[in-house]
Amino acid sequence: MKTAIAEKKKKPGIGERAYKTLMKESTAGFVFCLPFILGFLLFILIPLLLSLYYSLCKYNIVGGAQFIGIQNYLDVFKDDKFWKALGVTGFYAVVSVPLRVIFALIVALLLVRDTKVTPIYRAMYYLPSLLGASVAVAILWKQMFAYDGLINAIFGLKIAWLGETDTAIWVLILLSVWQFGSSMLIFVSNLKQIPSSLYEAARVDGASGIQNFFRITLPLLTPTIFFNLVMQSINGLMVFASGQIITGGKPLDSTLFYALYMYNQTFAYNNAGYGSALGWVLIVIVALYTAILFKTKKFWVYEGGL
Amino acid sequence: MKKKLLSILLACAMVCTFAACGDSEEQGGADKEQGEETPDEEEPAGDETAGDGEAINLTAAWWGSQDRNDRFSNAFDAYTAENPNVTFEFQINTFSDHLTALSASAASDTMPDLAMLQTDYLKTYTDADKLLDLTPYIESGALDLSNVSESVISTGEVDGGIYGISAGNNAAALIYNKTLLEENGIEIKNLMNYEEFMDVCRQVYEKTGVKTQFDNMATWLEHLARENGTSLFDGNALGVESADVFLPFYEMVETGREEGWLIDQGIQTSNGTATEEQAIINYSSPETQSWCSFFNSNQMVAMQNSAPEGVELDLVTMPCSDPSKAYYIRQAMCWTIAAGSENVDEAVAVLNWWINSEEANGIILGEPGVPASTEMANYVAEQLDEATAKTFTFVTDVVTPNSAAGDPPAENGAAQVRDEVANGVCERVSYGELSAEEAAQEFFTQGNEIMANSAAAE
Repeated sequence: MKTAIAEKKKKPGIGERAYKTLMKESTAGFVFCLPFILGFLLFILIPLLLSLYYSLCKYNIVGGAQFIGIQNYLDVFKDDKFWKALGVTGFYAVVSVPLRVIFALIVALLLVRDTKVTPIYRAMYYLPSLLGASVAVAILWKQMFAYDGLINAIFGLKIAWLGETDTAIWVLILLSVWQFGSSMLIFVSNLKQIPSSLYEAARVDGASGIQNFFRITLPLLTPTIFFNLVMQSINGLMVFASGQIITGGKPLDSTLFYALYMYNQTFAYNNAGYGSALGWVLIVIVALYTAILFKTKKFWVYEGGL
Repeated sequence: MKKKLLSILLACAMVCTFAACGDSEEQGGADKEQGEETPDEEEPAGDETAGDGEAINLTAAWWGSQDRNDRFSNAFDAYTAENPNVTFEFQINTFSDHLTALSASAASDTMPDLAMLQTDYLKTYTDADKLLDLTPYIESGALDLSNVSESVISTGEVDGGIYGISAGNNAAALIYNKTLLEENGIEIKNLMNYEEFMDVCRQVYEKTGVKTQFDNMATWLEHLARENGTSLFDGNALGVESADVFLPFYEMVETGREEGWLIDQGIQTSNGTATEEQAIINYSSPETQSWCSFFNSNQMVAMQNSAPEGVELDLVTMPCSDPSKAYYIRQAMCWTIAAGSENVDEAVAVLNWWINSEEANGIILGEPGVPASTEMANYVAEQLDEATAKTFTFVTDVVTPNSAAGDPPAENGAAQVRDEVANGVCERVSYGELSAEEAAQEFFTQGNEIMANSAAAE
């Protein structure tokens, strides 16, 4: 009897073994992860590695790739348009991100109180962010700022907003600032987590509203501000759609965003190898920028307990 | 236990749907392999014409206005009506998106069976062996070009093979607002030179305040190069020896800016580039209006269709000093067949039908220009609407006697020079950022640079 059981333990049938493996917690876990893992491999990791390879090639998409070493990278730094696009994108990110974060914070402060209507307002203010990335809003924006558009009609102006180098980039920055919703929601939820006891103590000490804001609210929000700043900066440096749809990089390349230039090189001019190199340079720039932001963290972000 | 099993099943289902999503990316290829299965829509139609009809699905891709999209898709549908076993899928885009989609599909070897292409782009695709050499089919008679002239056929010729068949013959044109000019008693004629043209611009501006907008910059420069006895591109460089060749055009733009008759570049830029957005038909005041536009002759039809009520357009030749050297009949748009197509014979049959049948041409009615086949050109000429008739007369009666042969398809890089450089440099002149001399030099330098860089790709 005993030996029979032992034998059975030693050699379970194939079906049984398969069943056991299948029933393991980890198996179920892997199966659930699989869609993501496959997606990550197919749409992120493999393209990423391919583009690294292509960045070292002369490659026109249509035909085969020819290995040329780091020539593309050398060309990048000699390319005037690269510097132009980098400047435009940097300006856009540096101006629009803080504006957007500040705007989100102000609206969040207004909407933090819980009344019956605030959820509706929050939803309304979030709406532009939902629509924001869409082509439809970009086209709407283009119409509004056209020479015969709504803005000129309302204010009785005659300005070619999208046709002048001084104004075109600001139209795009405005669109970006208008899409402050996601930052706002994060601010709202964090504002709610600030203990009211702190404000009560401050009131007892006779602090004014403004002192409350600068001494309590703002310091406790700095981690959130930091998070928003990092996320929005990365998005800002990779901006594409608004430049592609609204201005196409014009006038005189004053809205030629980096990603747009990369796209043009790759698809419009069939220099996919060069485009890939531009992409990798952008990755390095974004990584550096983020690293610098993290370095500044210790000077202004409050990370202590409450 | 049961719950676990269920969750595993669900997860599997998710994975499967996911995999299905991935597949649809390559539907073009998958569809061809499924050729055996009959798509359900066409079952009742019966197989009387093409007989034993193995079901075939072909993909056709082109760019253009809504007007063209309607005519083309109707024409393809008519083919399906005659041959119920052949169905079509369409990939319709604007010009630049069409090229993007096409190069992406070439990279994944899922090129549409039939694609419209500009001759400037042929070389990129033939270098990579993506297009079918039509010579054997022409020789076997499967593709009947007996009514197409040699010179038209040769424009689709690259390295000894024939890869593209003209979708329609055109010529570069000055399209103008006839109503406006007639109301103000301003005369205009064919074969004007720059001076005569600028006189018209000045008159229009003085009498009405309406401005002049330049377009098709590369064609102006190409004409200047041809008058100089060379082509715009020669191998992996520009065809001209000196930047001075381009100077007259930039001087004209500069003069326009100084004298005020050139449309404000800011307004032009914010208008967009689609045919329907051009300042000749899309304006609200004299300062946003242009009396003329420089496009290919066939595009006047789309413009006339979107013109304001009561505005009649007409066309004359683009200004140049020696039209008989500068001008040529354009077969820039051509149909190509993918080398990787799994239904090459059927695709050739469709192309043959497209070129030679009264039925197809009766639907298309010369939208992309005068049909390549002279017989079809005559057939179509009788049934044209007024605007298209004008463009036909223009091509056959005005340009044909005053033109030389076209240039062979250019090397890689030509498209970037035409698009990015020619437009970009002229834009800078209009904004006053560059003088005419600087602009000519800039185009010359950048153009040569890009052509040389593109050469190394091979």
